[in-house]
Amino acid sequence: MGPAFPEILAAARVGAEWAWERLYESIAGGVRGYLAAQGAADPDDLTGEVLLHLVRGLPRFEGDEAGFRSWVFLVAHHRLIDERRRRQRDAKLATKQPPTRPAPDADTAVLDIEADAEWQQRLAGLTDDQRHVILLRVVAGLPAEQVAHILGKRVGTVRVLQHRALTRLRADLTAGVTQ
Amino acid sequence: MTSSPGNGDEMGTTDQRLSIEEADHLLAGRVPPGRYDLDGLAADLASLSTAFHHEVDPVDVRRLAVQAAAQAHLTSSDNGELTATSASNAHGPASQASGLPKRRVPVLTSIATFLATTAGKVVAAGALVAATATGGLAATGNMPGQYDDPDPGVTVVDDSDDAVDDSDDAVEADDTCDTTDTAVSGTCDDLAGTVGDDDDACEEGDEIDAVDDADEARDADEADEADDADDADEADEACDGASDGAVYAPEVDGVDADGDEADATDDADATDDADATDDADEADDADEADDAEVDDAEVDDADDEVDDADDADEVDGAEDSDDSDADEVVNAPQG
Repeated sequence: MGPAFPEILAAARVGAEWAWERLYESIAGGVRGYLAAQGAADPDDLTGEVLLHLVRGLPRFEGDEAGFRSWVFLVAHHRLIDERRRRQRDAKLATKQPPTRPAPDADTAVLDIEADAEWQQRLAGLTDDQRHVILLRVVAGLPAEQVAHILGKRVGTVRVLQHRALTRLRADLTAGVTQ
Repeated sequence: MTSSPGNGDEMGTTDQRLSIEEADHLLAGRVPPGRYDLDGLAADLASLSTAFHHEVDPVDVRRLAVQAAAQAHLTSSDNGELTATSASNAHGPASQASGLPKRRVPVLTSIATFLATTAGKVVAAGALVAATATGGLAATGNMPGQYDDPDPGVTVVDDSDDAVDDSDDAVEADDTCDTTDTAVSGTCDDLAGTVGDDDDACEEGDEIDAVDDADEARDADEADEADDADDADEADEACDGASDGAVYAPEVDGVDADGDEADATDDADATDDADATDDADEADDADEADDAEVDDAEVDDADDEVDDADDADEVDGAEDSDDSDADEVVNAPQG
């Protein structure tokens, strides 16, 4: 969005549809990717839920574009945690069923699923905190300070976590090449 | 993999440790300067950033945006909590939204503000001390009760304690038989008889009895003899008996020597009062009232007898007769 961000933000606050379209275009891909990488059952639905919360909280938001992105992923992270808790609660009440995924398009679905599956497997080798840090830094593109704010940790802790995660990913990559 | 997830065998798989700047380059999908050994990892992370990205359908974006805007205006009834933090307790439990009713908040706030001041603390401490003292008195049964004075016009003198405290001195001075400073026998021994021979009504009286039983017996005999007041000798003996009793009650020092009715009534009431203060039962109050009436009725007779004593014993003088009179007053109910 760049320099036009304040104008877009002001227009979105008064309910301008074009402003919301711009905002959504700028954040939807990252939010959905982050939620999908985290293993959300329905990333698209959860992304729409994130947008709802953004609309409700936008009148109270103050900040620049970087702060806006940090806030967006903070909402997304909390929605993700809520969705996981909801799934755990539902799993206790009903028989465990495989996560339902929306039917992908036939052309791109195969590649996407393969890429997702590969990365899901690699990310599964990380701890939860390491996975959060890596995805927020790589997929969401946030700096370490904002990641620390979202996760409620110190910046030093985030750097330690990302260092260990990178080391782990490099080891996995080396092991895959040698195999 | 032999290492635990996430911790990695850093030294076994990397030639050099990653610096913070190098990690930032890698996470951005770039190869750190001078670290060509990390180009594979950089490309790998670059693929991660795009692996989960999906092209957003413009139609879908428009639909979601309109839907979000519409629902936001319809459902913007949250209670002011920050949207980003309202739905998750990831960083700890959320504070309780509910609390005291609003109408109670100002009252409690004002009370807390008052108690926070020094004056408030003083008042609170005073109230606490008062409550504690009252509760203690109530627990021990020492709360002051209402005194039913049958004759408000008569002064009540509480001389029971003094009579007991001075009992030792009275015993020592018993032999002297000093009749000049005594007019009434306000001893607890006599009190017991006044309220109906209730021994339990006067513990001090019992102690005095133990000290000087012989004197008491002699007092009673001589008092009976003094009731008759037939001759001067008997009056003298009554004088002696009265003096013995009076020694136990220094309070009688304040009694007028003329032995009028008021003084006699005072003494009688004082005797009753002493009885009332001797840890007697509350039921004794009624007896006291009755006794007071009896005492008042007997005062007339006592005065008459005093007059007789005065007439009979001119040698002993008025004070001697007063002593006899007082003893009469006290001992009258016994008869």
